[in-house]
Amino acid sequence: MAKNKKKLAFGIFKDGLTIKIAQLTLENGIITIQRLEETTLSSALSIKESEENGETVLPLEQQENEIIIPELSDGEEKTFSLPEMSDYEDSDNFTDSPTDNIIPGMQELQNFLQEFPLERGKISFNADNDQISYFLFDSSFGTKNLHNRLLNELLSKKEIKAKNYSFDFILNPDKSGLAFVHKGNFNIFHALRDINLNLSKKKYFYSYIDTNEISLINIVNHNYDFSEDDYVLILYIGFDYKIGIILKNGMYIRSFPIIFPDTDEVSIRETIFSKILLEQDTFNITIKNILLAGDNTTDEDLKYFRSATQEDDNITRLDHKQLTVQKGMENKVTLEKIAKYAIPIELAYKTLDVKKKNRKTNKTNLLPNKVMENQKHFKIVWHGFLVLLAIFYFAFAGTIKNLELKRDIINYEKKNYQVEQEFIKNSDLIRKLNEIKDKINKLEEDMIKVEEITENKNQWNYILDVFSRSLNKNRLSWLNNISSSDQGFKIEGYTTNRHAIIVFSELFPESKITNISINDDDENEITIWKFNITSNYPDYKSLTSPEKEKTELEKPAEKTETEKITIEEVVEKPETVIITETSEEISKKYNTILSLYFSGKIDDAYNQFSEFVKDYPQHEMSYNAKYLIGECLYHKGRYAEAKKIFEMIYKLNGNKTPDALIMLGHCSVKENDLESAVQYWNTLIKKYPDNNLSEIAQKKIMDIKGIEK
Amino acid sequence: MNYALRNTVILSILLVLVVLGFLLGNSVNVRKLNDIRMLYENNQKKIDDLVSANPDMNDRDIFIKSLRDLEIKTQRESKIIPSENNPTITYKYLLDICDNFCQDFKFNFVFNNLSVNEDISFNKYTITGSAPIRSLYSFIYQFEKQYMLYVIESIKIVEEIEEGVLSNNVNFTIVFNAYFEESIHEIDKIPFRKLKYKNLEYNPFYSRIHLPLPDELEKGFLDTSSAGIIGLTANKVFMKDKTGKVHILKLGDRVAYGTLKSINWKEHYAVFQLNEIGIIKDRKIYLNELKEESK
Repeated sequence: MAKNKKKLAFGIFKDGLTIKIAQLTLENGIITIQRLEETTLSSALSIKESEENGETVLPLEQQENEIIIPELSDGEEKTFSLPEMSDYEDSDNFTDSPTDNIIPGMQELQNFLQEFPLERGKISFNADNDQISYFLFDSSFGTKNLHNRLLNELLSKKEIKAKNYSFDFILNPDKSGLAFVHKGNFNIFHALRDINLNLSKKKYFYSYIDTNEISLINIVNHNYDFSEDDYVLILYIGFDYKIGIILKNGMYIRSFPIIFPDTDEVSIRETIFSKILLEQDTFNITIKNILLAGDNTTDEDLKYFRSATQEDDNITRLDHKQLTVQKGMENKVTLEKIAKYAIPIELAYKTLDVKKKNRKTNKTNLLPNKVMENQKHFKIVWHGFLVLLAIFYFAFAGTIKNLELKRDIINYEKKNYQVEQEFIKNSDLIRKLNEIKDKINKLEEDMIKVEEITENKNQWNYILDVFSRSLNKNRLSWLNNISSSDQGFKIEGYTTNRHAIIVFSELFPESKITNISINDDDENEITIWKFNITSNYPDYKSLTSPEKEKTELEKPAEKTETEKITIEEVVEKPETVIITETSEEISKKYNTILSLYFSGKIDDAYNQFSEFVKDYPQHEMSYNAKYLIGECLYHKGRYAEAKKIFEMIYKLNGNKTPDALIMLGHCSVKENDLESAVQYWNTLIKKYPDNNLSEIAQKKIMDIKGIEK
Repeated sequence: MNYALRNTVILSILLVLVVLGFLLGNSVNVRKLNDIRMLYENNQKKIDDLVSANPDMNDRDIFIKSLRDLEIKTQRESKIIPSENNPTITYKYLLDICDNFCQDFKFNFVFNNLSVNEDISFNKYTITGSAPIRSLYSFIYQFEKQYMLYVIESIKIVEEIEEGVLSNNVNFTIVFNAYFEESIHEIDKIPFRKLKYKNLEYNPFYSRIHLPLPDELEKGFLDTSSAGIIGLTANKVFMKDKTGKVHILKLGDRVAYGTLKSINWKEHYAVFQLNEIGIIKDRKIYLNELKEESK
């Protein structure tokens, strides 16, 4: 996908007043020359430049209005202030920019640049050779602290401090190299910035600013593969830029300017060739390869140099062999034109060359760092990445820690909620328990209070009952008088059996016989003994309670006697007094009756079972009691009544249903209704085949069938 | 400043902010965690304290059973202290007992006084009268066993003899206190305990030695005290009463207050078993002689 994306690059080359632009495209890994244009400006791009060239150039507006040339201050002249990208967004920052005084050359350059879709590609341009200083150093220069030492060689301390420069260098494998520094404005950059501001919302992207030498060296390194020992001369003859660059094994050896008088072409060629010969002689080298480029290198020049040099010397135009030409332009883009546009093409090519890492491309760039960094999408370097990594680490670790804490908090909140609920539950339980205890205490206190009041009194019913029973056994004795005393009571009675007095005196505790006297009945000829006994009240605690029927308050509670009485029922209805016999007590009673039944006391058992069913209709044992009533009736020979009971048990469909069925059969047999008996027993066998009674029923049926047979 | 360096500085500040932010956020969470942990531990401790302070917390069933048993016992045996008492209430209560359990119990009613015994008040009453012993017993039984806290302070029961003849009635004097406590929650209506019916097995005031009971039924039979034997066989006795009428009696035949028990033909007497005054006596009567011998 990425390969299919078409990329554009523009190389802008300024040579004097001539501006050349090469537009290259990269598509599917192939770099194609798309457009090569040039223009010649009518004036220089800056006043300073004009003055240096001896021109008098007025800003465009002033030219139009014929206004006097403004005097520029020293600071404005000296200060190189490259705008930052952020400046673009604030128009106020441009009020004092050089564009306020538009120079005709700049206007023309802008007009020319507007013809290109610069916003769609990357832009590279050359540094003006006039503003560049070079420093050639050899391997003895050393590489330690190279950057600063080179800067010190090229710039004064003041210049370094002022930071109005762009610096870079190339370092050859043998540790020699070429350093260069650009001082002053990048006029092309200002022109491009103005166009960008006026014509496009999208910011232009700048790739490189290279020196012409670097571009030319790069062309050779990209496209030619000379012998390591061969010296190569790049002979570039442009309008202002005329230079010879000697390379060996791709390394920069030296360069020399080419200056010739403004005479005929033949003289110029001869002058140039003489300069070449001079360089060879001076440095004792033999140049076998000469590559010609620039506007002023014609076919005639090529012929001349070929004729002037030896036959095996390689004299050619500088060519971009890696490039293709857009279809339809093959005729227009000749080798001569490519040689003319060698530098802008290389500038664009360097931008697009995806394989530059594998080639001997010099990675120099005079584009100020501010601009480069401003163009980066993510503008941080290694320490920034470290910090970013740290941010991610801390964010991650912090988030993990935070989540762990929150998880712990949630866990503790859950646990705490459970504990709180348990606490509430326990508190509630204890509160209710305390209420029960209070109630118990209250009841006990009330009972104690009542007991303290009543003490051993209120036992007269017991006392009378005891005397009644005792006198019943000792007839011919009777009481005449009974009355209470301080600690108990005293009785006065008569008896014809004086031994009975002893018995009476032992009925109650602390009894004392106080008097026994003869009371003869002469008329009846019998002896009557009059006696007096004093006794203490019996200890009420030692007395067994007389048998009681359930009270009116107890009866309503029968409904709940088989139900579990919950704490809430007891506590939350303090005014409702629930009185009942416990289920255990009732069961015990049932078992007692059952013992009667099994001991053969059928009548007693029948009566008591009947009473049990009546008293505890809701009790679980009531069901069994009903069944046993049926059995009692059976044993009593009341078969019809027994059958009714067993029918009822059968219909209830409980655990006694099989028993009821077998008993129904027995009742029917007793009534000589064998057919019904068999029917009952068959029902039993059918409904409860696994029941032991079914086996008995089966035998009974067999017996009946035997009888019938 | 180098743009990348500036970015690094910004990132560093961001890093510091992130670190601080997380430290701050985490410290808040740590504090919150500590708070909730402390709260949890406190609550746990509270539960432990609660449980240790209430070791019988899980014994509620036992307490419920105790309460139930106590309530049953209270309902069965104990008394209720009413919040109010006055002679009207008391008299009405006594009448209620009579109406429900001993309708033939009649009594005189006297309000004695109001007293205060420690922290509880009571009214003292006296009832007197004559009543069948069984009615009196029923009354006392209900009076003592019912819910209301009425306490018999003193009692006197005397056998009643009217004009020398025994009656089944006894004279009684009962002094009782009716307790009440105003602070006690008033119970609208205190029902009667339904007690199993209970009566005296035997009247202990019934005198077995008494004057011959005036019984019209006995007048229809031969009065042996005024009759003499005029002849006897081994199985029969011929007796003449004071009117001169001759009665022929076999063994076991009824006479006034008794029966013919035996005949001693050889000794010429007959023995009658009689119960005229509450005790059984044998009366021996000889032929032609009005001779009696008690055993």
